[in-house]
Amino acid sequence: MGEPFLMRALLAGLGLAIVAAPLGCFVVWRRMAYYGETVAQAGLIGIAAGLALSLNLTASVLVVTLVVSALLVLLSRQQIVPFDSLLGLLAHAALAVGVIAASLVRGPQLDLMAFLFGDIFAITSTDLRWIYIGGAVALAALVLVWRPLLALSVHEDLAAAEGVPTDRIKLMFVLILALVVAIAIRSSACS
Amino acid sequence: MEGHDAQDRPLRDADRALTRPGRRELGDLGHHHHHHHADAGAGPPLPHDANALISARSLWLSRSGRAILQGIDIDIAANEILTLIGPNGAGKTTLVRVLLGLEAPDKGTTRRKPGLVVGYVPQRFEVDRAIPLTVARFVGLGRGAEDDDIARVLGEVGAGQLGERQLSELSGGELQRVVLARALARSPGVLVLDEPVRGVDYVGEAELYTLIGRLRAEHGFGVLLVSHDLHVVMAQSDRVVCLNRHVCCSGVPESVAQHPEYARLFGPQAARAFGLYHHSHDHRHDLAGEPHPPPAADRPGARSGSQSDGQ
Repeated sequence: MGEPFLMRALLAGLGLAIVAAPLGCFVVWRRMAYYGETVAQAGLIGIAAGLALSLNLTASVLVVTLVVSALLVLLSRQQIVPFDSLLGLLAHAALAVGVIAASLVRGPQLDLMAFLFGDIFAITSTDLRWIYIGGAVALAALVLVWRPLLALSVHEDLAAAEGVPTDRIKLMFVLILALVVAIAIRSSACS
Repeated sequence: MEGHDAQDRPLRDADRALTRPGRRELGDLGHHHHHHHADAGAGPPLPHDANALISARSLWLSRSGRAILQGIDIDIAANEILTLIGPNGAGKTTLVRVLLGLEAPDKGTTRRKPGLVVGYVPQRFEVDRAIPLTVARFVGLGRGAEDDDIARVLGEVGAGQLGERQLSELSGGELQRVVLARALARSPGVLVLDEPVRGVDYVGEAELYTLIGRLRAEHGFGVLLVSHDLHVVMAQSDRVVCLNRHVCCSGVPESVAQHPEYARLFGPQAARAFGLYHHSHDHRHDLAGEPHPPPAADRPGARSGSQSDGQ
């Protein structure tokens, strides 16, 4: 138990579980399981970009997941292609682009498998800080939107008729989700 | 016969604004097809009714090239039950969604009384079994209602014993009452119900409308009720608007039931059935058309003035 890497893995796992549990409820209730998946796979693009530009990887992943989430919100407004099909397309497209991008910048420092499958034992203390600060922000934001988010998850039109700003709340939720995906990506993987 | 009196009775003042809607063709809209409703001499849109809870003028909306709303004018006044009837595809739900602000019209304006609180009972309500939610919490979600309020509104709709049940366990009729309770918990100025009796049996339907009439009498809110079935609804209504993408006719229930447009839309039987129904206060008909003597206190034909007796 004295091994620091074990302690870090334990703390990372606990921190992520605390954030992911309430968020995961909404992901299930809102039928967005593949949404998280798609955003996570797009995270690999962020890793490649971060390596190419020598940025903090979590930060670059965060930027990519936020951008992809916002894009998905925009795409979900069109009524022609069903949203689940769209996610199916985009998840694999994002993964493909990410793998190609990662292999282009691949140096000795990149263990692609670690990003694809996650390695909780490779968590650094910087990663831990990201998990706890990012997780606290995500939880605080979730508490703020909890009621309206629950109302619109139960019945969106009813919530909207009662004055819930549904678009804004949904965007908030998606951004929270993107943040959690970004902080979890080191330990829990892109795919 | 009462029906003949009604037929001859002129439309009340409150109906004045609704005698013209749908009859005007606006010059700059070329995509609709109801030329037989053209009224070239029509002036600019009527001004909004300043006293109305919700007032809409010249609403146009088309989807996939089909004009679903064609120049609708409608006003919902305080303390009235306004029933919207029309065949399937007449645009009833779309109109309600526009009035609620859930959908923007292509053209036209809606105006709400400032500070108006809306209680809404949507047409379809499927409860996701994955969401654990008690009835009481669901009612409280509409507005941060206190526990006392929740118990009170549940009692008002006759669902007082359901508070701790899971929402997903309720029957269709129970669920309707609970959704109605959530609307009431908001202390609404207007209550909007979109076909609230779907999945509710005939007796439950009459009871629900009687309940709505009684709640209106107690709280004084305006009610907009959507229905595609006629008898019980019309007996509870102060005013009926018959919609078929445009407003076909409107007025007190009796005048609408006798209107030729109404008979054309719903068939002569519907008009006759309504008349028959309305004239026979001493019994009601079951689904097979057999008359049943009901308990005197809850005649479904009770008019709004007397509906709270015996309750």
